[in-house]
Amino acid sequence: MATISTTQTTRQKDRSLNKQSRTLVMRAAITSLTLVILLLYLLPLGYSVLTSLKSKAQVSDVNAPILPSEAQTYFYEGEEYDVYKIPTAEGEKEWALVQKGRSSSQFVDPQNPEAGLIEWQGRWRTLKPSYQLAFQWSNYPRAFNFINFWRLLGFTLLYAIVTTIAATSSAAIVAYGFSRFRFPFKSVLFIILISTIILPPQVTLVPMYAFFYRIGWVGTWLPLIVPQFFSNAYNVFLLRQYFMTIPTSMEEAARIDGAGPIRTFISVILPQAVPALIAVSLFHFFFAWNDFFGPLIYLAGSAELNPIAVGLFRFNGLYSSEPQLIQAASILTMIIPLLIFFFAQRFFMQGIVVTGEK
Amino acid sequence: MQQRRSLLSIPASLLFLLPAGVFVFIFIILPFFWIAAVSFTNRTLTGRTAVDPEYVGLANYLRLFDPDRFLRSGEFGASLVITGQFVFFSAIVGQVLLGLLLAWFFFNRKGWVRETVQTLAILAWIMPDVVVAFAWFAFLDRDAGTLNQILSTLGIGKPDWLINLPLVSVIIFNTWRGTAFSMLLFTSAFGSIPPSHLETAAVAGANTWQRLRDIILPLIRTHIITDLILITLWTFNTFTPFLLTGGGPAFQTELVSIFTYRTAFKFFRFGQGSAVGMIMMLINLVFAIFYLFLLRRQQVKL
Repeated sequence: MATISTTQTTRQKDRSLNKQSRTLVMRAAITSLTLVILLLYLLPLGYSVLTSLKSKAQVSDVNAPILPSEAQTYFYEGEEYDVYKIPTAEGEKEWALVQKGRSSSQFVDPQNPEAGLIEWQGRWRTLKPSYQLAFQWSNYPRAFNFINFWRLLGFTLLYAIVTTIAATSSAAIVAYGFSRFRFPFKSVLFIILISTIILPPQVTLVPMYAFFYRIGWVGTWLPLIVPQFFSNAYNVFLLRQYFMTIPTSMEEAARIDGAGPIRTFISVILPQAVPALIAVSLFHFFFAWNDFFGPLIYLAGSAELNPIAVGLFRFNGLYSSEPQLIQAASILTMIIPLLIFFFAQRFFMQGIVVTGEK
Repeated sequence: MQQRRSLLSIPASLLFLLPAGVFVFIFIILPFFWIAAVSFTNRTLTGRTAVDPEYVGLANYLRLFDPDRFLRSGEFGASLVITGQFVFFSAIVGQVLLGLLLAWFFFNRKGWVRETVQTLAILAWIMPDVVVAFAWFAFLDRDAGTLNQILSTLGIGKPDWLINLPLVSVIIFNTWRGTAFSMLLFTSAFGSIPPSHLETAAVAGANTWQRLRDIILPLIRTHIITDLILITLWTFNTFTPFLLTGGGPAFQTELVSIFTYRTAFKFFRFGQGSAVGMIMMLINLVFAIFYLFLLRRQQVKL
């Protein structure tokens, strides 16, 4: 009996140990899988950052290392020589190539220049140049001046801020109307408004363009800014969902105190809806900051008014031989959205949550 | 009482709805009738046909669906086929399915890994299109691009992605760009599932797959359908791949949105462009109705 129970307990122990080690292995596997996904995810961006810190010579050199670096050189007796990696009997050495020869060349060891020239048998062309890490921070100021960053930034900021205020406030007004008032054909009107979400932007683009062309607005910012003052379906939808969750008791109290609908809206509803308003503002701000198609079409003839997204696209066409400057410029473009994102991440998430709730 | 209040609020409600009314009327309804009308004419932006367009009947539509050229590269049919593949792989398989799997994978996992992944996913989503396109353009470069450097160290060949596999490149690019939205939407959906449901299932001995199939998926199906509607339509209408390939090479990545742009704004043939717009609208409508039908049916079942 005693033996049986011992074996049972050991077996149980074994099993729990087994289970423990299995969960441990599982966890390790999951973590490493996550890291691989993360790495894959980051690759294109990481590459962009790395390229922005490389020299032009390195970008065009196929054999150059992935990290930003420059070919190492060494000054010997007043002259600058390239450093190569040389396989020798005592392992790989990094020597500066002083005298190039066909089948043998003369090198000097930067670690020990007093030893004089070293003769090495072999073709120097087969040798790999030695690189050391070097970050070309100067790409950033160069890119900044090249694309006239201040002007692009000014227009982009103006566009983003003005339309964010316009889009959020107009959407809030309409959403309030739909969430609190009763009127004939309300649900039909709401469905008409919401169905505009599924209308492809390219569809209304042609007639809008023809219209704005007729009244002479093409080539100015007006066609991009003015429509935002009249709300848009997605923002209305999001805000209405949120307004519906606000209890009506406070509004009733305000009404009893004699506040009209406008007053109620401003001093009761809006303060309670701050998170949703911020989420909508953020969505719109990022949309405006990234907007490419609109400015591309309406500002086609006036390059001096371009926002950053289009400016960068044109810059790419002009300086395609300088990818490091293009990447530097595009990273500069990200800074403001990135900062806003890190400060407001919580609200952003909330906006997506509301969308999911039908 | 009820009656009186609702009557009283009509003028006020009109005030609040005014912006939406203007929006729908000026920016949706008028343009809609405009393109419906213009799609039957040979209107252009400038020149004689801008002032005095002629009625051409169904010519614009017949030209789009002309069987001789329909599927030829650079024509409407070819562009529809490309868009179909693009939507299927990068929206339905890529973003929705991958987003669902990722959300499931990180479901109930806490800590820095999950936080980091979520943050990065949102970042990829909010970054300017141009920035992302440039990063990918460099990333996919044949000789200097990181992707091929990795592939060649693994001993796999070096394809010239944007030249030989343009559609694949654009699909991967768009999936990368958009998966975050689905993932976050599903993450929040999973969060709304009462933990007791899952605990009961675990006690009853349901394995992970059964729990996903029988409990999680039915509970979040409205989220799934909402996500499907939004992602399918966004992907169908997206213009961003233009930044990566310009629709080429040889029209191989010419999505319908790019086809419309080329027809309407490169040559300013508004009559033709309007006809394309009308058809795109119909396709969008079919998608939306199909998904809404699914949604309705699911609810009835409950």
